[in-house]
Amino acid sequence: MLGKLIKHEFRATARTMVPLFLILLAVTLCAFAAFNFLTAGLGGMFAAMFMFLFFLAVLAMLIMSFVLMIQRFKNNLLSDEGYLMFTLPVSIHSLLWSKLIVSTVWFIAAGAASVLATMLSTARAVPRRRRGLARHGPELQRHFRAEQRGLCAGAGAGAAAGLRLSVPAVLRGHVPGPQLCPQQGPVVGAAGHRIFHRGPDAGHHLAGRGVSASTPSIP
Amino acid sequence: MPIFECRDLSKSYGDVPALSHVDLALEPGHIVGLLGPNGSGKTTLIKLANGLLTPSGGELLIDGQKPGPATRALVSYLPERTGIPLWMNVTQLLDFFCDFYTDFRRDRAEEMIAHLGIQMKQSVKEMSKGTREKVQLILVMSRAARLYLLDEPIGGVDPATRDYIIGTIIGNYDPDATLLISTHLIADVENVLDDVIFINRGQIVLHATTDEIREQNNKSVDTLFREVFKC
Repeated sequence: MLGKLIKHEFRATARTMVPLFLILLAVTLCAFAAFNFLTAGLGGMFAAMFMFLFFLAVLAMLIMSFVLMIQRFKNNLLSDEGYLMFTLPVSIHSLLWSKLIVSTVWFIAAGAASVLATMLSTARAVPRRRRGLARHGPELQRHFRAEQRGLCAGAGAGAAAGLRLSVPAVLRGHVPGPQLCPQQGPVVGAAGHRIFHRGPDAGHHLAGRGVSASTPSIP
Repeated sequence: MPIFECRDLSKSYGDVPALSHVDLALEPGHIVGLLGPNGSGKTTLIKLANGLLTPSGGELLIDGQKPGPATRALVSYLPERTGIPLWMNVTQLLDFFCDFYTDFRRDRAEEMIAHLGIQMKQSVKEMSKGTREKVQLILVMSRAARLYLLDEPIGGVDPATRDYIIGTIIGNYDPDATLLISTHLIADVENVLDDVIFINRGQIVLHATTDEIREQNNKSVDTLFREVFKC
């Protein structure tokens, strides 16, 4: 029965993973072609674009194989589908094993595909008679690596900035977006709402915080 | 040997008792209505029979065995909710059931699907709520199981669909099998039931044949239910 579970688990996950592999293949071939056959100028721009897309495709595949594993456990076993899965004439162990085995296979496949794709996209089609941009091979490879670093640094900085903005806001309990408080009259955020309840003086706090204090209807 | 047996079965969720000291035995070849108001323990009993829950006390036996992979091969279960994966189409669903249940009769399922005018390539996602329930019921009733446990099979559908569902259930079950239907829509199922179980607050208050109820009380099951469970 484990075999059948694995078969159906592959069927369910291939829907998501196979298109990603195909995208990676297409982008890799484009990057390979651009790297080898495009000439400088506008061609160089295309080459750089395909390299960027290539990194995105690799990143998407690695992240997706991880997200998919979590999603399958959650949706297939812990949501309404669990009624179907946990009443199959199979043991719970084999249910869990089938999911672990299949997601491990996808992890390995995604890793192997990334390595192969990197090798292919940076390979030189015509090593002796260098043509087009390949003449600038070392230089482009430097760009390639720089872009990789830039991508990671950019993602890290973006995430850090996002956390810097969102975490303190959440901790303070300040819900962004206006809320209607009909009794108080003016439209304020949740934090403002709390301040209003303290009494009429609270309006000064609001003004001090840069929130519009044009609120004559405070009781 | 009874196909379904409870001995002093109890189940509580934390401090809240859902079933207390239930003794019950169902013989093969009966259509049994498990009738009770909301929150009386109907779904809990059926979930225990599928091994989705474990008893807090006592035991429940399916064909003499505790619920597990072996008993699940004998039981065909219709959950209270639609649990078929949304991304699958009808063909994939039939493949799935064929692979896991050796008693699945694919030709019968295909016939009923065609009768409803559902395309084999149509995915569950594209179906209406009522169609999803019908497809799930067809899958469940296409098995030649020993025990069918149907939890609220006519809960959320219109009266015409109710008739279709009840017809499907009666037309497809093996006369040697036992069918346990849980519902609170008694008038709709009353005519097909052999036996009736009234359950209230986790306890069996009545277990009799429908003929006995009609002769002794001179009332329909629906009327008796309204009297017993009067608020």
